[in-house]
Amino acid sequence: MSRRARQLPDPGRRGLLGLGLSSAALALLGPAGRALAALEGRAAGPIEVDPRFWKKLPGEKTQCFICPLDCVLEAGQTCFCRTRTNHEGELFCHAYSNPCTLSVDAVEKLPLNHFLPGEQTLSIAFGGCNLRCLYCQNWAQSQSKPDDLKTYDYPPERALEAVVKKDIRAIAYTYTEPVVFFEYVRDVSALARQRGVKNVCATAAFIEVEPVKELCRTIDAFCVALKGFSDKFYDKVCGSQLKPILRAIEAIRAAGPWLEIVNLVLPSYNDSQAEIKKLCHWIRLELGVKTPLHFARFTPEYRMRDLPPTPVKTLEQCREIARDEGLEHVYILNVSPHDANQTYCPRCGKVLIKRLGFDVLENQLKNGACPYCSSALPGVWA
Amino acid sequence: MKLEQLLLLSSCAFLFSPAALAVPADARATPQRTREIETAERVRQHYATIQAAVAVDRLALDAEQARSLLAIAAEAQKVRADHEQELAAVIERQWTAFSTFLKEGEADRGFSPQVEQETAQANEAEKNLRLRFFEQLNVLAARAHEVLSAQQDFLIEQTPRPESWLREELAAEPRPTGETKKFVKRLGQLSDRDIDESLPELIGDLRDLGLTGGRRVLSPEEREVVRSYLGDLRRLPRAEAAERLAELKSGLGSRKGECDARSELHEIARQKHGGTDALGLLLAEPAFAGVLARRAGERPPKCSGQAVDPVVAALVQDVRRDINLVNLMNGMHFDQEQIAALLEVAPDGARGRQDEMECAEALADLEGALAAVAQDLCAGREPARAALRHCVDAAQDARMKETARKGAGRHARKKARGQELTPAQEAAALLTDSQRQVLIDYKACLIPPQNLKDPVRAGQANTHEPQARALKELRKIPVRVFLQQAPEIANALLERIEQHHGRFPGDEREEALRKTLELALRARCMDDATFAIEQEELATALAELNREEALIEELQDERGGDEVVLCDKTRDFLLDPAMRPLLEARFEQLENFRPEPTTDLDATEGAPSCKDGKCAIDG
Ligand SMILES: [Zn+2]
Repeated sequence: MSRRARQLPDPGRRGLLGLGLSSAALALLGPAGRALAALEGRAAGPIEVDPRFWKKLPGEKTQCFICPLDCVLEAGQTCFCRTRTNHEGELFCHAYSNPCTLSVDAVEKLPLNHFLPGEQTLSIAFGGCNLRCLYCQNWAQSQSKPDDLKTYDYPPERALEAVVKKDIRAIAYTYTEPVVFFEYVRDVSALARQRGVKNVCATAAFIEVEPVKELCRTIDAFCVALKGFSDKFYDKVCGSQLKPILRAIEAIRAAGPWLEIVNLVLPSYNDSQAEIKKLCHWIRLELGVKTPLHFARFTPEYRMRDLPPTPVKTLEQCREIARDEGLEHVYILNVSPHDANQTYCPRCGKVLIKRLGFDVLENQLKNGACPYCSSALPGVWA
Repeated sequence: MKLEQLLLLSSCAFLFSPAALAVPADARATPQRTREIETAERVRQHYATIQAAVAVDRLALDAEQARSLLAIAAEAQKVRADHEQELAAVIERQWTAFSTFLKEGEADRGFSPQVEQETAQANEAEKNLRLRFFEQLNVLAARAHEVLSAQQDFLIEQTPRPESWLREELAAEPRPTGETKKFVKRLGQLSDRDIDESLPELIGDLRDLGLTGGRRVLSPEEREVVRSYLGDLRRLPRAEAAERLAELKSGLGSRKGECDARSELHEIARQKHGGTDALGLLLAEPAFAGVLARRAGERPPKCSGQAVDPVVAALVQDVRRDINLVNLMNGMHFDQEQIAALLEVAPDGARGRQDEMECAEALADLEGALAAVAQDLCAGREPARAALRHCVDAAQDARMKETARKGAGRHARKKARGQELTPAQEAAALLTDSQRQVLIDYKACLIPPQNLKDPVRAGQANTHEPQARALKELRKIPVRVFLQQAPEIANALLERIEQHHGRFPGDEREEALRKTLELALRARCMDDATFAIEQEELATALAELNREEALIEELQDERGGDEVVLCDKTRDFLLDPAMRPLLEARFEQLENFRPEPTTDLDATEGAPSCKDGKCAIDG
């Protein structure tokens, strides 16, 4: 049985092909219905979790292996991530073709500063997340089930149609947590790759190694939010764990997609010099000094509305620590205008890419190299 | 001012009676600033009296008209008094809200939601009061227009502003001012080649002398005229050259283009913020009723005293200015080095106090001069030429001093890097490219934007959010309604845009309407997902139907493009004397920066997490 055929009947969904047929009706049509759905590229309704990453347990229980939580569910239960449900002993993902956010953004917003500067992305997000960050900037979406939000009917084919029509060079899986809409990312990114469209992914990387390796086959660039560098911070502030995240990042580095790291600096929580130094040291050792690192300014959100925004001076100090550690491309995010928005040649120090906000004001790179001293700059430039 | 002048003016206008004023306890200015504000207020009132007297003389009303107009003016004064009563309360509220908001801005740790909300509401309250006041006033103005003949209407609209009227009265006998003489002296020392090379600067000087209609950049033809004119001028004996220059009161080069754009922008501001025409403005002034009554031999209408304390009102304006400056400073993210360098260029405190003193003296001189002329005009006497001249010279002097004070002295050129740079150019050179871009685009705002689509927080948000909202609303209109009324709906949308951004002239409006209708149709034809992706583009296209933006750009181009705009804004904001203490405080703050003490994570409640395999959220 094909993946797409294994859909959970959902009479609540709207008709397909304008024929007024619900997905339940299509299911009743058997192969013909599936063909009809495939024709329109529609796969409305929950989809079976990638069979490689879940298993049945005795007594109609299921266990998911996409993220390190390895959630065991009884029939009728929903995962911590809010997107996966045990339906009579089968595990379905409710985040498929029903994104809550669709927008066109600058690739710099992800953030990615060394990946097709100045290009746009079609950004897609679904409700749900497998973390519980108290400062989440998109909490209204991340802390809801996919179908509890206003959603769009957006099967994989439509995403492709849109980028082709608008001449957008990349699709971004972002805003909430792509790990929880793994199946959609897997299918859309595969289609995109076939058609020469790039895929970029902003994630907390709280994902098992095998699924992330699977994503690395079709994702061209990752921006990983490494939220802190202590178990306690991950546990207390994000409801998550550091070690599996480091493992996943190492797996991404080993697999080869372009990688940038972003660290949101939360005043008094994860901004100690020692923690920042440890984080930078790890990046140097495991990912290399050419890995771009962004220190992002926190703005009061969700359950941390009483915490002030990160002082710019704190961000500047973090950047100094990172540069002392030898990292060559260290940026400050969400503070603009600022010198640390620009890309500099690590060899001759000249400004190569000038930015204001998420706009690229000037890009002097010639074939990915500094026009002054000819040294190649790490990144994906064309 | 002499007692007799005060008495006479009181019968023309209402000078404020302090008993009626509500003053927040903490709204205090230094004695010097208080004096300055009070003097400025009297200057304003004298000008209003002069304007009223000139207008009444021009109108040559018959007895019937005078009576009717006086009755309307008396009503207008009632409206004004009621308005001021309410305004006083709003200004008091603004004082409290804005002061708190400013403190939070200075700390640069974000704004608390309640403080932000109160600030926005206090600001909105004033706007609403103003709109309502002008609405009421315009009803009275319409009635007043009916009293006047077409010719009188025309005369009222053509009555020059009092400053211009004073100059025009003197036109027959122009006399060079000190600044004109200084300019001629400098010109005498230049060769023709020097004139060629420093023409842009000379044009800048001519602008300061009021001879280029406010422009610093002229068309090539105009520049040629100025060049040859200055060449001739420098060959004349100095005294004669100064006379010639002084006679040139109508200005060099045609100002038509700029005046058109300016007056259109003025009209847009009026739409947005409320406003009235020349007759409405007269009706709003107590002086007008006073002069009318006096001419008719009647007592001026009874009216309550001034409710708004000009000192408090001016202090609120000062806080508002400081908020704008702090927002700009916060949004520019200056580092300590830049602040130190800016402070080097900014007018120093002692210089600032000196400038302030000179301004105060000039203003006091102007006040005395205007009082004398206003007194004559009120009494129906022709003011002496000497008195008029005193007014014009004092006004020019006060303006120059104010410009020097605000602009850190355009004329106080400094040698830097072997070049002659104005302080504004020097300060602008301290900025990074992206800071320069931000300043060029900067539009002052009270509450900085919190738009995650754009991390640039200096000045008004660069967003098309309102346009996107309008399109979303449009999509909600039922199909049948839309099909029946599409043109009307598009027209209503365009009218809303015009209300905020200016009316399109007749020939352009049809095209704008066609574009609006097309965008409306496109927005409606899309399904939700397509609209989500296309809305930014559609909103941007809708935002282009912005007359105001186009006019501002036109004016900026005329002023000389980005470089000139950058220098002007550097001077007006970064070198505003009020910026110095803010920059000094920010320097201290950065110098003494200590990170927050580390939060004890063990003591915090912590985020929910998935432990011991108990991950299910329900069921
Ligand atoms: Zn280089």
